[in-house]
Amino acid sequence: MLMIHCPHCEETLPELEFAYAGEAHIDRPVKPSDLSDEEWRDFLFIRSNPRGQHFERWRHVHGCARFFNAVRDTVSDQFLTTYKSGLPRPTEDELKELAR
Amino acid sequence: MTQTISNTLNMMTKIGHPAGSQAIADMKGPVDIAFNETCARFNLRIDPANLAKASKTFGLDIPASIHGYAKDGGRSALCLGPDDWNIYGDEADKDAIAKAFADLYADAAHSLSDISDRQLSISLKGAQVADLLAMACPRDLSQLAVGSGTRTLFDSVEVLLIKHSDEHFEMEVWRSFLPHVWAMLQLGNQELVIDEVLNKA
Ligand SMILES: [Zn+2]
Repeated sequence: MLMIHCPHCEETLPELEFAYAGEAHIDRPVKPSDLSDEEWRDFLFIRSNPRGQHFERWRHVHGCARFFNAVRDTVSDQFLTTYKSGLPRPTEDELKELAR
Repeated sequence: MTQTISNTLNMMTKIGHPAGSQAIADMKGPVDIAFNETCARFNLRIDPANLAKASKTFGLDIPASIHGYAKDGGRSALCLGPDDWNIYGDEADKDAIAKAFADLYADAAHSLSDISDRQLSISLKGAQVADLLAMACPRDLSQLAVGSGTRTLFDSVEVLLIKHSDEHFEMEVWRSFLPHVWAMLQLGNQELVIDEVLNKA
């Protein structure tokens, strides 16, 4: 079982308490009516789906119930870090350090 | 036993569920499994900056950090998330608590939901209570400090656990999941009996 660190509880806990919630750092357009159909489609459906480091949302649904962000390697399933929603994404240097 | 609890058990007996009252009487294990009295139970969502105001309104220092649990007299409170609490009082105080928070509303916006009837509270007592819970709870409960509580899972059902001591836990379960959880607890308790018999053999 994966063990996931919740940045709110500050504990590393079993995956069963958590739910995956899609790619992170996707801002909802402030004025959707200004968008073209293609832009709206991209916002709703087009995701980066990388092989490797993925910035994604998780929710500690059966714990503190908060959403937070994580960087997970989609090949190894290793979580490099987790951090509270609203914080900037970790820099490449920080991630390199974490991956070592 | 109050009316609401016996209704739930009667329902389980009617549907022939192992958690029906006859089955309960038949099963004895090392852990004492019993219903706690029903109570007034609210979920409170409020900005943590206003927690002191909520504590004053409630008449108990509501713990600020996740897992924090406080109890004084008939009032208790459990911190579930950064701005998420369950607060408890005697059933007879329900209206008074709701009224006190309604008065607080002008001063500190919050949400207070009456969830008294949503879940029932089970008391689990015995030297092997940790073994029983470990059968179906993915969390390492030895890491949960005595006198604190948490939301977690028990056999895929979301529950609340409060650790009163190493040998006394309280579990809150939503009513609709109760027959399953109750049956699992009974089954686990029976497995502890079997372990005991095998160890003696
Ligand atoms: Zn958490």
